[in-house]
Amino acid sequence: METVVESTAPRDAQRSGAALKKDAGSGGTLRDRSSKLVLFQDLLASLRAPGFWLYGAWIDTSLRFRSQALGAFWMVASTLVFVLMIGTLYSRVLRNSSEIYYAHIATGFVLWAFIQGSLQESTRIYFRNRSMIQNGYVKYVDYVLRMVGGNLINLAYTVLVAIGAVLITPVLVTSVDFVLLLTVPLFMLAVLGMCYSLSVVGARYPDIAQTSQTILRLFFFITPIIWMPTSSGRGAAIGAFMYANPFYYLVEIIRGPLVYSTIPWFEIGIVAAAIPVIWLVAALVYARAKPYVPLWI
Amino acid sequence: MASDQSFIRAENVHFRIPLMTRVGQSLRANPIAAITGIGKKRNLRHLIRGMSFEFTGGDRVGLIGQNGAGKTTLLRLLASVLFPSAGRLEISGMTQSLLNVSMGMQTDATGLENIYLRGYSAGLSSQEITKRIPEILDFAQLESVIHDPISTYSSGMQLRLAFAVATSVKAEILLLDEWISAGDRFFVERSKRRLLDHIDSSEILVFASHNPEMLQELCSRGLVLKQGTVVFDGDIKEALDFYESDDYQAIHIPPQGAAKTMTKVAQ
Repeated sequence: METVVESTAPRDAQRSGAALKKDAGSGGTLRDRSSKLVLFQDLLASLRAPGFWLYGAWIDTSLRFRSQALGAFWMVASTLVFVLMIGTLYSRVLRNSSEIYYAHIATGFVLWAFIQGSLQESTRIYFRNRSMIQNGYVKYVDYVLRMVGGNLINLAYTVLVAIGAVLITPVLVTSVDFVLLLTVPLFMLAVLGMCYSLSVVGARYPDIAQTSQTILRLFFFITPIIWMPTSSGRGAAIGAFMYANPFYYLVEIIRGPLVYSTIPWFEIGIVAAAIPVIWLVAALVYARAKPYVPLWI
Repeated sequence: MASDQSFIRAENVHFRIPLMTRVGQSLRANPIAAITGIGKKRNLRHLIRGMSFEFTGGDRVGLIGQNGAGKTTLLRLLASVLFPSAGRLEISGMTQSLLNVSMGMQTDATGLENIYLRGYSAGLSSQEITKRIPEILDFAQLESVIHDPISTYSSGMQLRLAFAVATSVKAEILLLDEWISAGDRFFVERSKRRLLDHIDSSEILVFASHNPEMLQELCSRGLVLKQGTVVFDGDIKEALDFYESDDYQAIHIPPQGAAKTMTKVAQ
């Protein structure tokens, strides 16, 4: 491995590019802080050597439930209780007696828990790993992947409730569900990209952790999770603002095919168009911030 | 110089950090400064002021200096945790930083799980870790408790495990911080051989310490630091003598830059 860290004082106009080229020629890895694509380079390296974050994600989950009788089933149990209680209660409140409501709320809640958990933890991720960073483990990409990986394991358990709800309630399981093969990766890409932006911004501005907590709690209620946008009743009032809500699109591209057997082309298009923007922003802030992360935390 | 040899080359490396505390930044504590401070030139703390040196294969370098002289900052720069604010730092070779030997250990996880966790963070594959486990257990003498959470271990046992795992990965450039003198006498004696073997297998050692005996034993070259500058670079014995002498205390480094004139280099 060959590392070159090169920087010049602001008044020195010239950057000695000759030396950089020479090092690149000797077959080593060249790391220059000005590369805008460093996020993708780091990400590729982490995907090639996934040991740390994969094992870390597993062990974090394992440790969380190790000493408990129900163990990992707690993730299923707490989701199940929420869906049953809120589902029964709100179907009365919203005068929506349709059984499909349980599938609606289960899918929405499970996806929301993943989005909220990932985004919320991103804002504090480098603070939490401060000691490892200060002591030399500077693959920042890995910390986010480990955290999102942990949330994915969580999602894999809780999604059992959503699948159960889809199977029990009279929801059609049709060929439309194959669209999920497209929309699930889109969903993951969008969330992961947002996590990288938030992780950097959260490290620079500690207030972001509180801000995002406030905002995400708000969005839980204005995103159609416990209410249905199609209901002509009280949901319609907020429904008008729904298309300005980014989380609506994320939830809908999975819930549409799964619960309503529709292909939400418009929503899929919006998410697909947003992903390059999300990742461009993430790459720019990550490249800009990478040398400073150890100083901020 | 052979192209496959490891080296560290620093040319006039500076490192500054903006001097700001969370309290000073707080909008609540100081609402006026938060507004008037916008666009103002930030106060910079100069931690490394124009260091130049070159380490090549076979160098065993001891970093000597009082607290705040820049030893740890320099190690973090070499470990690529920090990036220089100005100057040129070139590092060639697989670098292992043992700045804190217990880095990344999960106290609730078992000894075996921690071996894997540490191994992966050192960049090993699962096969490579599995291959090393017998040898790690042999040194750490923890076979009987390897499936227990390490929170149940004594601090000596935890240190033994961390040390055994850390030293099972070979590197070309080895960065060591002070931690090595921790632990009981028995551990220090037993681990010394292993540490020496580990150091022998590396090409470059950079070791920061306050312990003169340890420095003399492990290093051949000494870099004496004061307030972020190299004030002496030479034989370890002479470096330690210089550090002990009044000359070291007498060196005055002006607050801003201009450290070059004060740098005394003895090769």
